[in-house]
Amino acid sequence: MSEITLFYLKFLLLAGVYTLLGLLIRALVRDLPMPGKPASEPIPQAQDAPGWWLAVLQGQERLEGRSLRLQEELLLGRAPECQVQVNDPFASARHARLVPRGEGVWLEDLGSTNGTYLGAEVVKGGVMLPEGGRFSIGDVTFELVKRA
Amino acid sequence: MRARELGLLAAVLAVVAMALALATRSPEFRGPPPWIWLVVQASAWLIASLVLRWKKAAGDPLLLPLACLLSGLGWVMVWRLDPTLGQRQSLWILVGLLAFILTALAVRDYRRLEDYKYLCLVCGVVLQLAVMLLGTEINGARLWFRVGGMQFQPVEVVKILMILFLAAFLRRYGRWMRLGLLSREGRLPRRALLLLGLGWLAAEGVLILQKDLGMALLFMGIFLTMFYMATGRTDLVLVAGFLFVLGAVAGLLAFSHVRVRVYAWLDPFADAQNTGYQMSQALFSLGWGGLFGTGLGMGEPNRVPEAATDFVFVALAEELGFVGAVAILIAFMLLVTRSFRVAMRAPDEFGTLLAGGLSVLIAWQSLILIAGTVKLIPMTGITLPFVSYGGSSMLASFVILALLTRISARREEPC
Repeated sequence: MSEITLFYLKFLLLAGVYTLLGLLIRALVRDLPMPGKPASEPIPQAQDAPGWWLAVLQGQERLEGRSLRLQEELLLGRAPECQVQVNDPFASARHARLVPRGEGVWLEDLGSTNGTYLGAEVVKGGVMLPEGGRFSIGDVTFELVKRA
Repeated sequence: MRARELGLLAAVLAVVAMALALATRSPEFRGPPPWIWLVVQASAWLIASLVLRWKKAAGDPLLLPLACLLSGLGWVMVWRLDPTLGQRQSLWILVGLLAFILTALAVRDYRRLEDYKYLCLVCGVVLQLAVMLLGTEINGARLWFRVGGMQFQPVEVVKILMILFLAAFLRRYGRWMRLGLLSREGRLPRRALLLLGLGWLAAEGVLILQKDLGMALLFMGIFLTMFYMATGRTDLVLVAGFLFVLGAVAGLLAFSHVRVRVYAWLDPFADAQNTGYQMSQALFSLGWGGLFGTGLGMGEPNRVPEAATDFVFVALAEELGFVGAVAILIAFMLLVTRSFRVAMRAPDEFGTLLAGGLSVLIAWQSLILIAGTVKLIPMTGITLPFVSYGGSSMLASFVILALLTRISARREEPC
């Protein structure tokens, strides 16, 4: 083999090694949990139906600015069974729950690791939230809205 | 899932074959390339993958191909440096794969290992003390037992036993160590302090009696990382790490052997013909490699003493260049990332701590060794997992791989 062929073979081997690493990285990335794609699309609701609504103020790109109607108990957390999927690193699997109760909404922390906050205050057990009440889980902030 | 593992293995083996073909140009290569050994090795890897699938013990499909890439490139380099060692290395890889299959099949339920924690501790301590007191001293460090013509490095076994013990112990008592002293409650975390104190003593003992900084660093690194994984106590980890550094500096001042290594690290050219010889040769070797290397078989990595064991990374860096060396680092990174994924997905806390400890072991060991050979920290006497020549190290690496595979397989099968 000529010198020149040998010279190119050197790069061919390096290219081979890197192609391999590329294949391995692709396989690795494919196994990562991807954001987006909720388990099931939320049922479309009229945006102006009266009653309690839960609005996402900030923190989660996919949900930001959207609101969800609060008719019965809502579960917040990372687990698939939660109606409100909070994909924040500080959220627990079953983080908190919201129960509408006529004049207010009952917010209950379900023993989360990093806590549910009202401003700077940690929610211990449960608390009754009035209209316009704000709370946050990790970096996600929610607001309760009442539509007449 | 399995088809992916086989496909990746085949791709890896193709690259290893290409490397072998190129490496035959070296003057040390007498005779034709060992194609038979390559075929035997390739079939062994594929058989290992198939046996695990057949016995329904298959786990993470990326671990095996990554290990195959690292050990394949290491094997080609060892053979290219010294065909006699290369032949032995081929045998060791086969024995390692056998150990991999046997471990993966024997440990049907890794949670059983938790019951043997004190047995692991006692065996580990006895082995470690035995080698410190009775071992053969090579290059001033007591790390080996010599039986007949074979050398055995008990530390490879000790580190796995230690991780098993720590995972079981921290699973049991870790939750009580999360509180106390600087955290919410005013109590002293007695258990945590006792454990940290004993770990610190052990690391300093290794440093003083065994005269090896790398070993002590590896031990302390694994110990503190596992402690942190179980308790999340940054404060205690920082204090213990600081005390370890203090002890290491004191050891440096007190013991001439360690001091020689540190001086050889600070300025290898001051005594380039004697104590600094290995390091200065390694630096020349690295520099000679440049960006793309001399090409496999075209360099002279044999000029570095111990090129096949401690300095195998330098030999690879000379012939594959900076770009090739980075590829090896990436392969290690992927292996560690993937092992951490196994830890995070493990179904119970013991599995998480065990897999986490094993990943940390691979990470620290490769980091300490590579950093030592490129003059980032003083050179040490430990091996590069899967890549370096050496029977005990190869066997231990495959046992680690088997345990990781077992833990990752757990969630797929019904309990």
